[in-house]
Amino acid sequence: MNLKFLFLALALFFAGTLSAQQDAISTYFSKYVDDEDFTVVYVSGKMFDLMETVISNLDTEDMNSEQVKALTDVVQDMKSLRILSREGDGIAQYRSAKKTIAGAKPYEVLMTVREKGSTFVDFYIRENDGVVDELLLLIGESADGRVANLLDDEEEIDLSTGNFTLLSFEGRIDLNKIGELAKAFEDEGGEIDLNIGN
Amino acid sequence: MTDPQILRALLDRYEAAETSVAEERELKAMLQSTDLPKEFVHYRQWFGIQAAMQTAKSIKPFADAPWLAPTKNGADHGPTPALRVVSNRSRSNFRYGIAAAAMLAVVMVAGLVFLSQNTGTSPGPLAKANTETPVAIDWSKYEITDPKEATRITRAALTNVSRRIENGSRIASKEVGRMEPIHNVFNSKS
Repeated sequence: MNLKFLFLALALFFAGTLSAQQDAISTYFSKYVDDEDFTVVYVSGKMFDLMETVISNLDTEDMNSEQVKALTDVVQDMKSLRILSREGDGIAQYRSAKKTIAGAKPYEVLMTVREKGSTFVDFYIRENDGVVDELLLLIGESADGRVANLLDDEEEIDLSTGNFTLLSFEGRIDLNKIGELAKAFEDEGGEIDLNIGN
Repeated sequence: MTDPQILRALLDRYEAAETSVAEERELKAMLQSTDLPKEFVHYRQWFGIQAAMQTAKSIKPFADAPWLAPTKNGADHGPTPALRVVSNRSRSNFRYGIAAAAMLAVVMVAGLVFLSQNTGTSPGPLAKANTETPVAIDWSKYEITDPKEATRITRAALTNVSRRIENGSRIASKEVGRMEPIHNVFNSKS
């Protein structure tokens, strides 16, 4: 009887530890999903199944065959897309998110880039048995472009401006296919318009 | 010696439901006695004495532990079968061993989790972030239900990601390219 209780406690302990690690991003999302300053978008796995048909039926004027193939190749392995976005407080929000994600054990930094001195971009991946099953993109932008060094010179930064975006792609992420996508859409800016229905 | 007359009188009173608790106790004792006259034996079943006595007869005293049975003249029982006792003890030890191993595993895992959380890149805020209770999010509230709209947003998001990865890779290779002359200097010296 005591042994059964012990093994049950052990199983619960392991389950709790694993879920606590995997839910770091969900915890972060849960803090802001009901905040009206944030825009939240979710695309489910079922929608990705439908998307393959939608992409194949798109007008050829909208995308060429190479773009259709590149997009289909990526989309077919995806299970969800979550977007959290905010206008204003871009850098402050970026820093807060970075602290949370960098400490979440399953996530590894893929790349950190500072673009044009005012945009900070971090890529994180979560691997499982050598397969990337989540790709996170964290973007913090300062609208005035005066950021010389974010970490050393905070007085010069107007934290109330700029945009913040957190993208989470879940599924079987093949970074080579993402690279092919970049080549196929190299002429497009890739700005994300989250105004639904436009 | 059981008095048949007293016994008969008690049985009559018992049948008429007139006996007291003390009388019933006395009646039961009489029926249990070994010198009970034969004509009264069948009354034993009233008190379940027959079945109990038969069961008691079938159980041999010290059947499970004959070495504990008293012997005449203090004779030796021969080799003491200690095997059964040792077996119980070893099973108990095995259980305690498993319990101890499980406890040790719990402590080790707890220690590893504790260490991994404290060797992170920025411990203070991180620990706070990790200990927050995850709240279940109802994603259906934010779900895009129009496939075309979902496609448009996904396409833009993926294009954004791929462009930024490519841009980051380009910057990295450019910086590596800048390192080339320094690399050449070291190579020429060697």
